[in-house]
Amino acid sequence: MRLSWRNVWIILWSDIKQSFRSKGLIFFLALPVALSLIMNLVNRQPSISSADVVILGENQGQFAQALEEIEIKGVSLFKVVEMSESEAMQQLERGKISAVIKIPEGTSAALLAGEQVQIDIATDESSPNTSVIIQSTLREMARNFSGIVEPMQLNVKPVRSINTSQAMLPTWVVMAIMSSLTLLPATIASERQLKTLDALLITPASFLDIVIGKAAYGVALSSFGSLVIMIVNGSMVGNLALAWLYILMGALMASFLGAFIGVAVKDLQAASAVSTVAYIFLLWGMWFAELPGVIGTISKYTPGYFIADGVRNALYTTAPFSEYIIGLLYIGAIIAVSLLLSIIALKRQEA
Amino acid sequence: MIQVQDLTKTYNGKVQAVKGVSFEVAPGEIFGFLGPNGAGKTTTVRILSGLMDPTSGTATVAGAPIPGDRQQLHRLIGVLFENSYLYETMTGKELLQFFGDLYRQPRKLVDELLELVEMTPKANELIKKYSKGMKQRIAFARALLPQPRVLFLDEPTSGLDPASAVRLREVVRETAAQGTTVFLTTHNMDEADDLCNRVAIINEGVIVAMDSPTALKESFSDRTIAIMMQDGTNNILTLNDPDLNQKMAALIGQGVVKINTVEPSLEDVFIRMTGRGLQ
Ligand SMILES: Nc1ncnc2c1ncn2[C@@H]1O[C@H](COP(=O)(O)OP(=O)(O)OP(=O)(O)O)[C@@H](O)[C@H]1O
Ligand SMILES: [Mg+2]
Repeated sequence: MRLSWRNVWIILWSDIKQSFRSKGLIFFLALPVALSLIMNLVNRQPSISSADVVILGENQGQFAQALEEIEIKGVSLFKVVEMSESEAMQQLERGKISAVIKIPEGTSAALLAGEQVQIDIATDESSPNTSVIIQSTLREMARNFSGIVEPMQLNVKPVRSINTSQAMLPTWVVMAIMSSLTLLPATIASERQLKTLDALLITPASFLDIVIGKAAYGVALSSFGSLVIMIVNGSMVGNLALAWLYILMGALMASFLGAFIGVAVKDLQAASAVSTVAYIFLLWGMWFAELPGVIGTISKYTPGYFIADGVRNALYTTAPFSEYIIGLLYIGAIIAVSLLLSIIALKRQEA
Repeated sequence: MIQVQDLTKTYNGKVQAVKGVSFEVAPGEIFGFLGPNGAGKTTTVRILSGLMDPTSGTATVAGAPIPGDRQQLHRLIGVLFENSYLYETMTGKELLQFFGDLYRQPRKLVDELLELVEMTPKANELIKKYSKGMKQRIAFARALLPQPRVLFLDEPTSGLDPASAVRLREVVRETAAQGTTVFLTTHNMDEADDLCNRVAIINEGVIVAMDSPTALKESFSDRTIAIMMQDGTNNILTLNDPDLNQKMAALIGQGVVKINTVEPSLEDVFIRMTGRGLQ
């Protein structure tokens, strides 16, 4: 089985030219784009959320415990945790929590003695209402504690974390990336079913050329969809090179897996069914990663979550590169496995 | 140009589609492969065009061994498939250019072929808007695109109106005259008779007769004549009847309108050899 890049290019280019005539395909790409835009509009309204607040420092003190008892709609607003300051700040940056409050040793005693205290607080300014509520609740509690009018001097450090539409954006990007996972098996299987594949197979192009050409088309399509989503949502920000590394690796993964399914599963309906299952399996984690318990934990190991999280961090945070390595290796491994599977399936076809 | 030896094909270990066929086709010859539905014609074409391996037996096509290096074979042959499907979202011209690029042929050839199959006026319309016959003509042009040494045509005129069929046969004849060997399957006996230098009749995976159409008809002729009388009745006489002269003389005395020799058509040969009519 020889590979001719020229044949790959001829097949890729012909598919690209035709894609503008395929209504189904346009719909496939338009869907995540439209959803991302709608979410963007809906999220323009500021909202108050009972987001977690992390308290560091004197976390056994009476003041901290009193704060912990405050509930909004049955959910604790403040949460005392053991966490390093840098870790807490990173969570804040990523929008996982709404504020970090540092309560120095001796704060409870000082308040009870009626002395003024100084407290450092970092709040997420991308949801300003939540920030204001947290600050005023804090003051109110201090007043109750000490009985004086101005018991507390707050040193507020505003941090802009990602907002909801920014947090959602990577999931739309991943949907666009994965569209080639459902598209490729359908095109390859229908070429086989309609016997247009026979005409290709009697040209000097090998089956490998054809499959690589189709996979390249999948990568082009996935990247194009991602690009459109990022542009219309104004998200060409942050570490774009890293974000695009993730997008391209995701596109390669989806395309090679799609190609494998298309080659291995001969029947059109069966190929569509298998690819839909694979699509859901790869994607579901990114929607459920925030759920508590086992489901949330498992979700964080799915490729969809890794890509979405990688893209999100690259675009909106300053996380160090070491944080990305596991995700990139993981996706790279899936790419390698699906490439290998495709080649095995192709070899079996030849026999 | 084509040599086939004891070719067999069994599908899924069960259906014996081809049961040991052997034949040779000379360069520039138009060879017809005739047989009823399910006889194994398409199976043979698919094996000889390298789309699947035979279960046993060997062949060479334009020097390329089968089974063997498919890419070598594919530079030498053109195939018109039975029920060829084309990419409907392309125009006729785009389709030929796409395949022309894969065959590394110049764009000029595409225009020439469009002209040859008389599709130039429709070349820039989407294939999904073509009629069945127009699609067949584009598929035929695609088969000629590699400028093949051997051209396989699986039922080339099915779906064509009579005028288009005549035109296509002309092109096949011209192509063969330029040295291309043509292997053609058909259900149309007149077409085979008209076009082919030699035909093989295949039935249930076995070749039951192989010769030139004239020789086949000759061998099946029962040498009869039909004598039509003034009163409209027909008398049939066999030429090897010992009393032929007397019977003729008697009939002529009663007033003969017409004397015809009765030659079997290729269709008669076909039906006798395969034991059934065309389905
Ligand atoms: N892919 C396949 N799997 C199993 N059996 C097959 C397959 N293709 C063909 N056959 C069987 O092989 C036999 C020969 O089929 P083939 O298509 O070669 O016939 P044919 O002579 O081309 O007939 P037609 O004139 O109808 O086109 C038939 O019995 C058919 O059912
Ligand atoms: Mg057939």
